[in-house]
Amino acid sequence: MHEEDRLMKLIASGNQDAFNRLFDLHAGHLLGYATRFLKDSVKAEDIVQETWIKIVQLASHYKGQGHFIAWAFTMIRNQSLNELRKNSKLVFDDTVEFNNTDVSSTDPLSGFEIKSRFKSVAKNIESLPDTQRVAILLWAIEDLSYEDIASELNMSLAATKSLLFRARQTLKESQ
Amino acid sequence: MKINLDDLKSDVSKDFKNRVLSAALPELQKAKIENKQPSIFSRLEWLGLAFASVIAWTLGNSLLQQETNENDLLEFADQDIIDNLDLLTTLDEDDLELLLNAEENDV
Repeated sequence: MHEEDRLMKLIASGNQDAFNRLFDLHAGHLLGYATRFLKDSVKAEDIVQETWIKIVQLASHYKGQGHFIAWAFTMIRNQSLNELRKNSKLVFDDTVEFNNTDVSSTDPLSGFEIKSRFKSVAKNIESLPDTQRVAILLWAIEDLSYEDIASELNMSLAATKSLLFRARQTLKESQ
Repeated sequence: MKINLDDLKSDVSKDFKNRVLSAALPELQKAKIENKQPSIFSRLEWLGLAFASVIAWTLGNSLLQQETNENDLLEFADQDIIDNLDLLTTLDEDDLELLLNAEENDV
């Protein structure tokens, strides 16, 4: 059994030491994801705090089977998207991007390597416009498919591909 | 994941950790209490079951006793008939005829 799964079982029975251990293991990851998503460390901390409380509340229903971090990232993503939408930061200009049919018919991130240089491009990711930043984070960190990203952002698939293509171009140019 | 997880990591301050721990503490205590509830419930369930068993045993015993008494009474009531039957079966044909004639004459 994965350590996170074992700790979640203990947390479900109110074990504080298990919570401390899980927090030490993953608090930095959750905070890093929320901070990049929101570009606001104060809001990111608020969302991560709420997420940890939800983790305790939902521990008895958790059936992660080794996918704790993906489960927790989904909670961070949902709360972060709500926060961005609440502040009207996620506004898409679907019409402009949809016209870019050449991009939408191809794989916008084909050959785009990010794993080996995420640290170096992280700052540039933060400087991307909100929509592009969110789309690239969903792709790079949560491994969402283009269809899933489109659904999360309420965009058409073509517009999503176009958005990711532009994000890639911006990151390439800024290097 | 298309990145190394640790490349995503942010530093977590002590203040933030304390803040989260104190915010999560009431939820952990709630989880502890909720987790205990099934065992309390189970204990009550066992007590109830034991109580029901005692009542069932007492009732069963009393019914059994009642049935035994009724059987004894029946047995006692039937004894006269059995005795008469025994008498009838020990008589030979002549005696039986005499007995029946005597009864007819009495009537």
